[in-house]
Amino acid sequence: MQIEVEGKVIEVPIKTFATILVAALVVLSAFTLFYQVAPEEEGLVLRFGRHVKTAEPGLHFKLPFGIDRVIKVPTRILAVESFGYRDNRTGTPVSAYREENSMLTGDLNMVLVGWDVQFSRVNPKDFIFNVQDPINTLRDISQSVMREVTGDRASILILTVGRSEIQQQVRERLQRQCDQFRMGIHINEVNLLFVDPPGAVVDAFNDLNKAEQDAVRFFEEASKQYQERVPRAKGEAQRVILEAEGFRQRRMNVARGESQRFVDMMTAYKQSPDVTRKRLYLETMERQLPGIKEVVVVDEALQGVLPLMNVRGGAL
Amino acid sequence: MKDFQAINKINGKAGAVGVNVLVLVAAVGFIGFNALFALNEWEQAVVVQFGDIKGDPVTQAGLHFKVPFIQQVQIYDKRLMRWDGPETTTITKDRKTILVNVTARWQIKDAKAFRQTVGSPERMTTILNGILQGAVRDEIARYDLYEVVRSSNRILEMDSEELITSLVDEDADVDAEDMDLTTLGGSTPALSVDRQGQFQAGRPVVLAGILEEGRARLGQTGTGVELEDILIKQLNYSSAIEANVYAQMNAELQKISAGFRSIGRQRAEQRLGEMERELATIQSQAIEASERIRGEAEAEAINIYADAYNRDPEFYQFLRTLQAYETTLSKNTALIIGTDSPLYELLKR
Repeated sequence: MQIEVEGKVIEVPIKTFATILVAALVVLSAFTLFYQVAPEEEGLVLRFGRHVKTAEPGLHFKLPFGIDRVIKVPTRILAVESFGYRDNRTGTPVSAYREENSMLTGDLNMVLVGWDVQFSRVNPKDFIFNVQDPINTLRDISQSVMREVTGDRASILILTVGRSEIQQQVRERLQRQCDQFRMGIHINEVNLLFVDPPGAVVDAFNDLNKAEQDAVRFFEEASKQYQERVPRAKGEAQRVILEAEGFRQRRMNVARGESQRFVDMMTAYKQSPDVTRKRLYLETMERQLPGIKEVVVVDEALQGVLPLMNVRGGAL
Repeated sequence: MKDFQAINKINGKAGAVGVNVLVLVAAVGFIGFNALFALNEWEQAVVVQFGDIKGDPVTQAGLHFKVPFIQQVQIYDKRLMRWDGPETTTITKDRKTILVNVTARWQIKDAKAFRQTVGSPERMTTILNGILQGAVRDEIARYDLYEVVRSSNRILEMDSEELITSLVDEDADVDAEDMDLTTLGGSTPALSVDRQGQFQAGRPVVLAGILEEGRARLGQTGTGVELEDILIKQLNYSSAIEANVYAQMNAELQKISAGFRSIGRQRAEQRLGEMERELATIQSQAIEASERIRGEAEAEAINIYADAYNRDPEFYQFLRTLQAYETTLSKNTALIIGTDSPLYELLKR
């Protein structure tokens, strides 16, 4: 207040100068007294460079004029680093990152691998204080670990069934290495985005997929045939058996019928055998004679019929 | 803060001496600032006086004193620093040209020595370029390529059967031994192991070798820097031998494709065989059953007929003879009868 009262005395330029200076300082200090930490951040408060506290999100007071400095670290943000490709907003082809995505496999073949690492800066103190360039260090480790893991596996395995196991292995080793460097980083996830054979072997690899499908198809076609024919054969077998049973039925019935017929005839025959015998014989022959070509009567006294047969044969 | 309050007070009491006071305060402030230095958590400092380093390096973060003007402070990082080497062309023991890119972590452990021998992180990078690239070349030249690429022998122990069944079909009954597994690591040599079961080669061994070699070379320079770690960031074939690798991969993939197809055919044929066996079993069982039934029927029929006919075999014979005439005498038959035949009697009439 004293300053303002004297500030009216314009003849003293030094005082005016001091007043302006002080006013500027007051305004400046008001600006540097407060700081805000965003919801996704934590603030490291450094007093003359020394870490005194870590501030949670919100509006906070600090000492002005650079005595307290605040380094804000987005601890709650899930950050992503890409390897072997980039988020394709720029339209850069994947081949531009050949050096990152080309891997030598354990059988000394090559595969192209693109992946990303999702991580969070869980410990802001470690993240800022322990490693000079944590993000690039993370990138170094990630590439090294992926090469180590793919370098210990067969190319065919990496290209086909090994993905989830690789992701898990890389995540674990990456986390271990980050912990060793005390980087304050937690690896949430490692995602393999593509695992491709190099361009020159794509055809052979695609044919491999086709070969797998062929193998399955061959088997399925055979199975289909099996499914069609075996039940039909079972049906046919049942038919054969049922037919046999039908045959038995018929055979029984016929046998019983014919037997009965014989017994009945026999019973009647026994009452007058001679007449019946003759009648039956003659009736039969009567039916048959009209159809017979010739009837030769031979005297019982003659021995054999052969000479006569010969004559007939010659006549023909 | 204090300084400025002082200015205000003095100004308030006597304006005439204000100029002198202001100058004095500024001078004191200037000297005061020069007597203090702040050190961040990740920093360390060496105090230099006329080119000599005074005392031990300051590693505690916060505000520190020094003799103003006479002493200078050189601040260095105390965090892990990153060295990212350039791509190096290296030749392995088995004469394969590869491109290697290694990266290292280093840390200033003795800031005093660092100030004396190196001076700046940029110069350290240059020094490491020489040391580590040399170490990388030397170490990799001691091993075959597979010993640099692989870390263990797990590729040899890979369960090929598991792989194939998972590729083809879960419930498959496949004899995986039939497959040519060269691509699956079957033909790659094993990493040598010593008596304690420690690997004598392999990526970790190579890296440890490079690190040891780098540390030894760095130790001789007395830079106060410690190498924390070495990582192989990139390791690729030189473009000259890539074409050969592709040809080899193509050949191996074709071999596996053929293997898959033949396994598929094998399983299909097996299935068809099973089917034929099944069909033959079903059909023959049916025939067996049917023949048994028919046989039983015949036997029973024989019994039934026999029971009846045995009651008068002569009459049966007679009837059956007549029946035979009915079926055997036809248009082209010549009938020869005796004169005593009843038929003759019939014809005479």
